[in-house]
Amino acid sequence: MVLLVTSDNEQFQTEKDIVERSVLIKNMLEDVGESDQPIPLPNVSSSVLKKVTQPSTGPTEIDVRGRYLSTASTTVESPSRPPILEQSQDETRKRTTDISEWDQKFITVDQEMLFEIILAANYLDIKSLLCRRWLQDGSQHDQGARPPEEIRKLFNIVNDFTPEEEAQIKKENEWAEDR
Amino acid sequence: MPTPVSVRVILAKQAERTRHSSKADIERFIEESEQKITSLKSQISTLWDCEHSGVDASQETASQIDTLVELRDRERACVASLRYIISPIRTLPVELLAEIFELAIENETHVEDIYRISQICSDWRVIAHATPRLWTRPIRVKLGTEQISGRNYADGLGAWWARSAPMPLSISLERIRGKMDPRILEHVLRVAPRFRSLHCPNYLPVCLINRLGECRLDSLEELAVGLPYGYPDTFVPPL
Repeated sequence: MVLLVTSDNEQFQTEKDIVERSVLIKNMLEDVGESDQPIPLPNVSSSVLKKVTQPSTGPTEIDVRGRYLSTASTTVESPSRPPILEQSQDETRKRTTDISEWDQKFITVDQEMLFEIILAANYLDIKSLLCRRWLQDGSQHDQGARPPEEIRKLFNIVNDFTPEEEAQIKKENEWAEDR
Repeated sequence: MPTPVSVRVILAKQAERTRHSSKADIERFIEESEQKITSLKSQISTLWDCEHSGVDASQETASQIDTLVELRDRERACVASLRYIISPIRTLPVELLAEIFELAIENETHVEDIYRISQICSDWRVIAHATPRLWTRPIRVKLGTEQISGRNYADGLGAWWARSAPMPLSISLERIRGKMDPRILEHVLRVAPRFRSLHCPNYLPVCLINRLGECRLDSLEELAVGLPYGYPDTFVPPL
């Protein structure tokens, strides 16, 4: 067992094979050798460490991947008024799918933890926890590709391109259709 | 018609406005803006109903609606910008985001994936364009004019490789059908010193072989001729 101390001074007795998924800790253990000394993790809080050190098939992967893949969509009813009266310009220009309010709240809450985990994974050097599936969606799009608008919604990213820039980007990407 | 809202300008303004604000402050700004939006929507709705019920169909009413719609869109852009400013994804350092982009790109769909990343927002686009390793996965190149529909293929390929500089490249030349497109050929020859892996069909025009022979191929580690396309699965012994 290895004793880890988090940034909020909590101590965790953790199995060696679990903590060695972290290249940082593995290297520390190799450098120090057999020792009862606690390993300080000043950049990782106890709540994040709990997630990171859960057993390997565990919930972290589900947290990172599964919840994002399960975002339900709701169909927005067509407005009876002209669209510009009902939608923002951005929505008018590019509306694909909508994420339900409940899911949006859930994601917003959960994202804080997600990004803390990603930062901790980076610090601890645990590559498997870095999220690979941001661009993919297993539930809504059979093709597996998550459309840009949905990626924006997921992470509250603002589409700050002008219509001219968007046209230019589209033109730049046209060659790929000939590949 | 209402004037289009410049999201980038609003984002910059909100970033400046909230530079010293706490997350709680920003959440309060969002709430205030949402209340304004609700009020504006109600006013728009009232005016629209007046206009279409024939009570007041004057030019002035139409103009008022346009003004209110513009204000509402600005406020919505404010809310979106403020949400972005406090979004957890912005806590990630640029280097880590670039690394995640790299993990998220699949070999089979790497071109589509990287283009999707680079059209999310200008921040992501800048990061993607400043990360050459994202643009270095194997590319199949069509040199023949009959193989392309001419829509910016040469320019697109050139821009793609420019973003990958100075990293080594893996490319596969497809069998040429029709005449060779001189612009594409020039792009290929320009990046030849960066070829790490070059796969060619079993027939290449002599002039192309001669031109390639004139290039410095200092980075070349792998050359395959006549193999069916399918690498990197196909085993090719290194030079």
